[in-house]
Amino acid sequence: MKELDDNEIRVIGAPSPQPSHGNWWVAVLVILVAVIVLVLALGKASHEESVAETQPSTEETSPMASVETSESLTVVDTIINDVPLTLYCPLDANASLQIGLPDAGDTALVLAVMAADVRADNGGIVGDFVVNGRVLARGERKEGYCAIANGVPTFGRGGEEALERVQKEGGDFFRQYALVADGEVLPLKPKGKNHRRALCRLGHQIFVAASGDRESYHDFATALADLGVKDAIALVGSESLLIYRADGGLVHSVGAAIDSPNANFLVWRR
Amino acid sequence: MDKDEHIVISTSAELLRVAAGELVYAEADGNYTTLVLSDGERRVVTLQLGQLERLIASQMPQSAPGFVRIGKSLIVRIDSVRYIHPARGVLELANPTGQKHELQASREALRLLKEMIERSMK
Repeated sequence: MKELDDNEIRVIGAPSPQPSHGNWWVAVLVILVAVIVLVLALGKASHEESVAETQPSTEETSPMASVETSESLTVVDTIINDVPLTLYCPLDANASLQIGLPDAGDTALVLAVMAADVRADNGGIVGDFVVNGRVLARGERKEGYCAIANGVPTFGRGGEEALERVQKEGGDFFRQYALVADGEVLPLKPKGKNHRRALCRLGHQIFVAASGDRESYHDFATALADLGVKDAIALVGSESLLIYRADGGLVHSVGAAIDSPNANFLVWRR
Repeated sequence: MDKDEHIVISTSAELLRVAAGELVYAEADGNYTTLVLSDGERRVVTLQLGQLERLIASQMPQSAPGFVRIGKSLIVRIDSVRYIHPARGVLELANPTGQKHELQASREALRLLKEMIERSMK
């Protein structure tokens, strides 16, 4: 009997059937419902004065749209341009940057996602990296940045002033590829397809977007721009670790942490 | 599945006889496998998951396969599948009493499982 890898399945005692790609009408219906719910959920959030005042809506949820809400996080699934996206929207939570795995048992944890890339050859963090005002790595090759002060992330391109400010004020900073700026897709150098993640801003709502399939940076960024995202920078993608706490306190994890002492996370806590 | 169908696991030290409908899922743990039964009992057996798979295949009739191997680590009773979310790698199983089990598997494997179940409904 052939050994399976983790991406395969086999019916025991019967030949494995081949996947089909039918039921297009169901997919179209799901897309329509998901987009309607997404617009309602994010449109409502964008009219709030701040992220802290945003409350998840339960009235507009639909099982087909696969929207999950908890007190601290809304998770929305949608499909834009054939790109399946999962959007993790922290509510009334403070962001920070940390090196090392977040404690999944921490009841304050809302969402954690890997932030800056770590070099495969020497394990060093790629690009400028600051935690609590302390500079831990230098490098400007990636022009996208995220600076965090008082629990609020700001991000975009450049970031030299923000880098100086977080060092003075004890904030956090990391660099990544810039994907979308002012609603426009930016030209991106890396080729190839992989599971992608990004830190995004739509109106006042800041959220993490994750592609459900392997995508090029260009297709992923285009889907985000078409969704209405104004600014987005990449986060570590592939099968890297993402943790979130769902309704009822159940902790979900997607992917796995890389084996490096410099594995670093953008974390939201309440 | 016929309730009289049993999976019999016999080693030099022990014998375990489980009705096929009672086994919710089995999870690999190195050289051991943990069986999770519908009453919530977890029983560890000294078999690798591949050995359990061959045992189920040999003891269950082809007409009622009932179980699916998912990647390297899981065997799941198809009837117990409650919820699949491939993008998040989430597989939720439920036994007849409503007790839920949330498992993690690869997104690609769950996408295939979802398609297989959809196709079986046509």
